[in-house]
Amino acid sequence: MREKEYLFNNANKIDEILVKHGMNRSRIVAIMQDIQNEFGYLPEKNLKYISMKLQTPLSQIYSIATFYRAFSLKPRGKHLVTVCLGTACHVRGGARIVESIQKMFDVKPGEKTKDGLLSLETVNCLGACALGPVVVVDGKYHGHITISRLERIVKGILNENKK
Amino acid sequence: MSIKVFIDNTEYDAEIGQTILEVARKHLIEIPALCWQPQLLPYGACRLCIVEVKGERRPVTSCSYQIVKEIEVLTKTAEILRMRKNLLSLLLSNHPADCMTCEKSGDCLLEKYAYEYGIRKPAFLGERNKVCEKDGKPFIIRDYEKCIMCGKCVRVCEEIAGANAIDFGWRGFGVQIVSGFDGSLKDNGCFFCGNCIEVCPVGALREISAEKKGRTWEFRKINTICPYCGVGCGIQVSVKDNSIVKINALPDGSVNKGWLCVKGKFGFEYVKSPDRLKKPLLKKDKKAGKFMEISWDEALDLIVNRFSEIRKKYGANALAGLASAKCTNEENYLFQKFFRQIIRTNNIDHCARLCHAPSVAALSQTLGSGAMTNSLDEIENCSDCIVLIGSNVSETQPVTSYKIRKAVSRGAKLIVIDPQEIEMAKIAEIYIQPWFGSDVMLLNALAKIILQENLINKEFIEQRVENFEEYQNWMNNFSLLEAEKITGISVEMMKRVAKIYATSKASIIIWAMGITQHITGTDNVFALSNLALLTGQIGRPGAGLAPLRGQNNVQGACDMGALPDFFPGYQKVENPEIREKFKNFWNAACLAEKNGLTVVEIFSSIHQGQIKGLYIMGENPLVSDPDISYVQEAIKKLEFLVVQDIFLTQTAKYADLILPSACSFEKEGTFTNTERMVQKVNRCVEPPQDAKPDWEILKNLAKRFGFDWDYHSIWDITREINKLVPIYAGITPERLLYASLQWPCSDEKHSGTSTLHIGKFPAGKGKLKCVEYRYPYELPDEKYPFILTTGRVLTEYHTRTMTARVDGLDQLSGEPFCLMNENDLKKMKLKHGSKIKVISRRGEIEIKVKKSRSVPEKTVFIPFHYAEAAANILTHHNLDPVAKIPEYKICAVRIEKL
Repeated sequence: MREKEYLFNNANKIDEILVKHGMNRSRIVAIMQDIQNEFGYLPEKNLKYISMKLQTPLSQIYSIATFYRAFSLKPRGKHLVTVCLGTACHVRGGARIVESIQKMFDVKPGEKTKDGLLSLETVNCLGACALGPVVVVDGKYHGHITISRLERIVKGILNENKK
Repeated sequence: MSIKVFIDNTEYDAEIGQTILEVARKHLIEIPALCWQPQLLPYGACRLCIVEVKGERRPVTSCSYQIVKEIEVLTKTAEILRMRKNLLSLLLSNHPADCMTCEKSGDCLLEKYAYEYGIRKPAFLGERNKVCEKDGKPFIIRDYEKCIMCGKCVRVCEEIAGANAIDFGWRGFGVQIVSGFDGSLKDNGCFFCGNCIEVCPVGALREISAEKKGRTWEFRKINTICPYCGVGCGIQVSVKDNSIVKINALPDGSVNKGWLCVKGKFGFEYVKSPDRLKKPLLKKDKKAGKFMEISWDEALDLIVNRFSEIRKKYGANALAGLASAKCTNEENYLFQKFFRQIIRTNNIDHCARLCHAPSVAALSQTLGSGAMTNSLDEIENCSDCIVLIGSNVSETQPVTSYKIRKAVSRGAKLIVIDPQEIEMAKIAEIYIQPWFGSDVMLLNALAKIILQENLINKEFIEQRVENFEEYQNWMNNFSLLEAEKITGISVEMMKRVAKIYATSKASIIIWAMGITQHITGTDNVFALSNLALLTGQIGRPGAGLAPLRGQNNVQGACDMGALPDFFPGYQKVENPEIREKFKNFWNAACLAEKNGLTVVEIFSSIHQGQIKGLYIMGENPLVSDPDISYVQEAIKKLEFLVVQDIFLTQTAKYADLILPSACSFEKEGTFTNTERMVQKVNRCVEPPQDAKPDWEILKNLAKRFGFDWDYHSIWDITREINKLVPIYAGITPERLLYASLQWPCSDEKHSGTSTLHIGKFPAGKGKLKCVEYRYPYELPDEKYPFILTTGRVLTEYHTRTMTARVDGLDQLSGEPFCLMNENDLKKMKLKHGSKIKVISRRGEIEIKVKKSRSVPEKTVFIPFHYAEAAANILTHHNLDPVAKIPEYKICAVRIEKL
């Protein structure tokens, strides 16, 4: 390995994240998670930057970014609702939950509302089948969810935002 | 160790660790497989190769099941066949059923298996994963609707080419092959080696050039050798209506093992270029540079008259010839024979002078033979430490770089030494960046460390090396600290390199122009050979010294004596016995006794008025030689210049007479590659109009001179070579039909030599040489603060006579450019893509600048290919005193903004 220079002329957020993970390319998923947390999605220019810095092919980074549902290549809304559509959740009405959220807030799965406040996404399994149907709202898991309860939760966070 | 395997109740022998599929294929037992590629790691994605193994609960994939004990395998049970049929049916239900218009039809594995398993219609109907076509311009069609996700293209891109331009994207049903952000291949670092097309089992990846040209059964297929670099890849040329449709790699028994690079795969369009020379041309008007077509009779008579005239007036040494490393062995043999027997001068040389003359000069002194000591396959399979010094191998010999990459993944340690941070540095164990032209210092320092730390191979030195004591004494005064100062490499780092090199089981040093194109070129090679002799890293498979040759037949042109000091087979001109042998065999009255002049000397002799007539066969010195204005003036001074070429090159424009020749797809003969492998070249298409193979031109010319050159075919010449050249004695045309052979091959029973110097050197004992460090001829100063270094790029070849006429290659790199370090650009307030003027003491050129991280600061790298911004206008023509090679790699320049 070449003696790499770890010093940066203008240390920015991405460099901070890279340094935090020791410029280690095997920690690429963790690095991408940090970027996602920082920006709410994975901006193309940042992925190109880490590809160059970690000498990792962009095709591989793009492959990882598209593989995991947790990553988004488009900016997400301020709040995120993820509905599980795994087998267990599906039979317990996961699809109906998606449908009603879609109607209620006028948002398609994988997209965000016009005001940019809410994103709706689906996921194939969260591994919490016993709790099905499961919905994750801003990182918080809600098990055995019903449509009315979910409506209350989502409206609640949206109202909070308006205040 | 071998064990028994029962496949379908028949007993076979297998090696431990072999897979079932390998054993089955070896014995021609058909097991279908779509994702399996013998040169790649097993993957097990398509599941089609499932078989039953007794004792296993479920069917296993035979491509990944390694045999470790005696097993019984059943490949065709009803259950297995049913499962395979289901799998195929699933694949077909996600496949557009458009075989009737598919380019791949007839060559498609999915089609073949569907036929074999009798699937008329897929059993499953439903949604299909419709992936649109993606950008693979200028060479590759990426029609992913046909993709079956075998992943071969992804694996070949990673494991072999190392480009990593593509990968799997998305997941589940929607999975598809993607490049970064689904951009074009060009923007994703694709090398366009085309190996993804080579492995694609279906029609998803195809050649743009072959589109709508017909399908596999319509083509005539001819095996021959690639016309580009010194690797000598075996290729299969598909021909229809006397034109080349596409080129594929030959998988078995070839040097390249089924892989190609961008030039070999796609660079054949030039063959049918309308610019090809078709008739002999005579200069009508010297000032306007106009030519008129004449007949072959007139052309040959003119040469006879003018050459005889010049010889009568000024003597035989007023004539000289430049042979060609692009022509066959037979043609180079005839060319030197023409000059030696008929003209009676030794003024013959060729472009090897400008590439590996120092390697030949130095190694023949220290070992007794100047060629690469090992085979390319040994690098892949045997070497444990690979020192890559002064060779940007991924640009110049891509197929060799695949072999190095494979060696590294096998666990070999790669040490890259180069002032430029080349592509291979990315996978190197150690990469060091010495200062330009400090090689002798660095290599001596490594030798000093080897002596100091007692890393020498005592037994080897005692038995096979002379002047060890003298060398050791001379080394006493060597200071490592001074070396540190001059090379810019810490002693610590040098110690690591020396240790890995000396202690690995088999170490090989690979070098190219970065070592030789210096005024200390010969010394550099001496210093390399010292390292090998001190540590005994030579004369074993995988251990040795490997100068990589540039052109397809540069090794052969040297072997055939297109050199001023050697007859064919490195037999010295100045040795009276040898002269006598050739004189008798050729029935010549007398032969010139003195060594002739080298390339650069020929041009200075023209300046001095000693040489009046020049015959150039397939070379373009007006772009390739150093200090072009000097060469140009020389050429203008000539009384008679004949150029024999396939295109009207920059040099040909100055010729009095131009002879149209056939390119390597249009003739037969043999090429000798970098590892001394003599391979047969076959005729694929007919030459345009009156163009003739070079050997026929030379034969007819000799006849006009009144000499009885009675060759009925090219193979008569090969047989003459067998008789005169001991190292080629056993390489007969009959044997070449079936196999390629590596010289030395002493008789018809000898099977060729893959590793040189086992047990003994041709020179007896290996010689250690004390080489003092010398500074390069021209170093940067206040007026010219930058170093200019020249080199090649992947998608171009030499003076672009061929590659400029391949549209796709031209799209990739058609414009001249130079590379500069990004920090220098910042300091000079230049932008990526802005035009600059590069000025040296000899001339100036205007050129676009590209930002680079690989080039060190205060350095400009310019590829020498481009005539419109020729790097060689800037270089100087000062020579290495022994090998007479000019210093292309270092001169001082200054940069001006435009």
